[in-house]
Amino acid sequence: MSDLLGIATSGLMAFQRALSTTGHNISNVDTPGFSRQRVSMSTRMPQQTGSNYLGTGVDIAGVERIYDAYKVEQVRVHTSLSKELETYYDLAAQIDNLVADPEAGLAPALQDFFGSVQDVSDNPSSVAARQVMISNGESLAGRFQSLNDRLDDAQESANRQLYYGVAEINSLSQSIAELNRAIASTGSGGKPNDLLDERDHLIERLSEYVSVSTVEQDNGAVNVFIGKGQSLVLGDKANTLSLRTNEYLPYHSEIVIDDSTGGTNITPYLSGGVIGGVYDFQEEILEPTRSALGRVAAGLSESFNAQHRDGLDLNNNLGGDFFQSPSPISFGSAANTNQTVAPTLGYSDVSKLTTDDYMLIWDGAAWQLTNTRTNQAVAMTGTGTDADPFIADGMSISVQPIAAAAGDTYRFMLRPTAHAARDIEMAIADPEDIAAAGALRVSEATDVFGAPVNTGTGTISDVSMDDDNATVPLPLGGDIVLTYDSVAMGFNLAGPGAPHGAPAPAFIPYDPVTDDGQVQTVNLDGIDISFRLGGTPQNGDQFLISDNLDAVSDNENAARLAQLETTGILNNGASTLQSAYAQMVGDVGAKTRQTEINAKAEATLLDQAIAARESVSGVNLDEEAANLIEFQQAYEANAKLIATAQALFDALLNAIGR
Amino acid sequence: MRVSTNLIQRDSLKSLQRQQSELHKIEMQLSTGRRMLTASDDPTGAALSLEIGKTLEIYKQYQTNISQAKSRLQLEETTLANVENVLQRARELSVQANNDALSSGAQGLSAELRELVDELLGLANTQDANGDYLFSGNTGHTKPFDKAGGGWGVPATFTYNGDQGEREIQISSGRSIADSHSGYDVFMKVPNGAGTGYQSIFKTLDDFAVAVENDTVSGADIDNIDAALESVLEKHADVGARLNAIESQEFANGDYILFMEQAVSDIRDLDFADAVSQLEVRMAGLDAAQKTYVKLQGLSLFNYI
Repeated sequence: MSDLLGIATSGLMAFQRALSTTGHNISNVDTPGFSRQRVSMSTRMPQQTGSNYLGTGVDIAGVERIYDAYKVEQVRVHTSLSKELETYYDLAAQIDNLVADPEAGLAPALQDFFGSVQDVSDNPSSVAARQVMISNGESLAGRFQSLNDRLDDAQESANRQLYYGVAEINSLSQSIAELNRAIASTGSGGKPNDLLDERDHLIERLSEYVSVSTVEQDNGAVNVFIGKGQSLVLGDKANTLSLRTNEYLPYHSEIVIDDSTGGTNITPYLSGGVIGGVYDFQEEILEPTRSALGRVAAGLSESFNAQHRDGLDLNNNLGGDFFQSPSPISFGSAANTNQTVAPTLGYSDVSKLTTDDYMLIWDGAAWQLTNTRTNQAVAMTGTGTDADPFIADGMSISVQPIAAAAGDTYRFMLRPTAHAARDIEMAIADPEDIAAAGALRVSEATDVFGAPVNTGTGTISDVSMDDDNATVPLPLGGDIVLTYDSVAMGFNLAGPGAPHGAPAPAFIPYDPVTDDGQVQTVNLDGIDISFRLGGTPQNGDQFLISDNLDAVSDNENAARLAQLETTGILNNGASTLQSAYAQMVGDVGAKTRQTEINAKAEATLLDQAIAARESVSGVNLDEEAANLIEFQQAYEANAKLIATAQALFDALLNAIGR
Repeated sequence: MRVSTNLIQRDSLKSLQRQQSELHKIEMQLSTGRRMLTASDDPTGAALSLEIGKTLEIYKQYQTNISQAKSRLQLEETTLANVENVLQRARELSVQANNDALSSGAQGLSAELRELVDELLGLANTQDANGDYLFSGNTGHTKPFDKAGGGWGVPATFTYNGDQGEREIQISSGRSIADSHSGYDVFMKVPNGAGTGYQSIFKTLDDFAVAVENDTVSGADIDNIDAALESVLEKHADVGARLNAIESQEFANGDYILFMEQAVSDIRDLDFADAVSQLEVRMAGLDAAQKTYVKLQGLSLFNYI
């Protein structure tokens, strides 16, 4: 009977434990990372009685968590991938929402601006129309800046995510190290299920921020690695991550691990999770968009200024810059021999500009330029002096201020257009400073009353000029006079007098039969002047090229400025400003869409991985309810056994006592 | 497969949220009337609609240019018609003067001719709505014509102060049209009656008046007036041709604008009938998801023990 009592007691104990484990499961139904537990029971060592083995009841072999390491690993992997894409998508959507907005994007501001240039071309003498052009120019420059500000905002929220990500990683790895210590100290025997669950859960949370790999040690501790095998947690020790400013770009952060060598930059090796998503976004959307937007700004200001300088304003002055032109920016390495010097940068040809970044490196003997996206060397022409700068991909680079010597170290990151949208501004504010008129006019000679004196039907028209290489600047001061010589069949050129030299050539052949309507070009002190001659002039007929003074109604230059809207300015002349912007919008949209699709696919995979893990480890309340009933009944049955044993004992006592 | 209680809960919630986000998107589309809410909804379409939108705006600007050029050309047309009237009247008077041997009529004739010269000068110094002189070439703020000296039997001098420029206005892609003639072309560079050189219309009329006053009217005076009239008619016809060209371009631009507006709308705008039926489908979906969720919540074995 005592053995019956022992058996019953072992059953009671076992099912009491089973019931409380079921209770543990039920109460942890919502605990993240919890794996359901089960009491495993086995029969006790039987008792040998003579030749027979008698059962002695049940033993609790252990409380085990129902768990599949592979499935846990799968959830971890897909968490990293999913979080990376989700972070990327959330950041990209900020830009995506912005660029195609019919009101907030660049397109309407660009259209309004060029519309007002056309209006000035329709009415060059109207100060009102000029005022609108100035204020639309200001709005356009402001729109570039505000779009760039939104990109800066996105950069800031990316940096914030990095900051919180790194802080979270540090706190999680610290907790994991502490759990490692606790788990290792339990020694052999039953496993600390709840601690193991919690550690798995922390590692899963860690994988939300960055991809991790784990190796379990014999003592139960788990080592956690990130990137290319950099150890984040080794046993009960955690390494700390920290952020520092990028060597070149002050607005980019890189992640260093504070290991024994005193800090290693591991940014290039990190992938997955929030951290991976932020860096992918920065590299694939944010910076290309910033450069593409800046390239439109640089293309606008350079081409508009060049044309504007060829015109004449309402005060008879040659046009100046319309926009304050941005320029490429360089960022020097902290390792540079002299920290205070930098190359002088400018745009040589906006049509050749790319949206890439470059490294300009002094190799001890010569300067090398490398495209950082393609990692290809870029050929430079020129000698790199102020007078003859290096020319490469639309940039002019003078390294003269650096005066690099053998043995010096110099590395500069060059960003051709990344800051142009931020830096573009209006250069003029006075409507009278708009150079709407052409710089020169052509006319037939007249007498003092403005009446014709020529006797032939010769005409002169369509004058234009290019003074980029002028040695003596305009104005002409006097007239260039073309006088027809019918014997020599051509025009003799004279004027305009000091300070200018003589126009070249001094004689333009003109045969009315073959040269009617041809464009002629003369050069005056480096200024190219072209015009069209036509008709049949008589001997001695004269034509004049003069400064276009008081031509308040002339729209020559305004019309040329307006035409820049439909001129191929970027991509080797293949893209107008607007189409380069449209291309940027299309790129952002395509990348965002791609990320959205990938993020959705990855979220589904994560759901499946979670479902697979849950199918093993998750608590099902109905199942627990059934277990509850089962264990309760077993407990009651075991209690009944005790009652039975007692009844038997009573019967025996009664029998003896009689 | 074994499912955990948590997973059931999670999946039902996800389904609810997905239905809600789809519904929200259709709501946004309906409230903005746009099919594309962001560039990623249709990246190619977004780029394309920006490109077409730009061309559309440029053509609308051409239409603005056209209406500006038109009003200037119409002003020139009216002014030239008035110049023609002046010259016609002078022509009538010249025939009368040639036939009339009566020197007693010279006084009245001369007075009217002097009036005509002044009227002509006024027409040549016409200003447009902006106060710019119509016939001063590109120097719109410079009064183009001045008269000095002259009197009974003495010729006056007339000076042109403008330049010889003509302003070109862009009316379509690659097409510009001049919106004026310079005063030099209309009034100064006018062939004389003999075809041997040029004489300004002012001088032609003034010379005629002087000839009437000095009683030296000759056939050359009449020839000069005829030549002037012919020259002005030529310019008038030129203006008419420009106006015709502009108007036909205006129609062509208008058609193109309609076409492009349709194209942009096809890319960017929402098909409302389609969107509303989508809305119905999504609402039904959300309703079903909600009902499923509530029903599932009621199922538990614990209800029975």
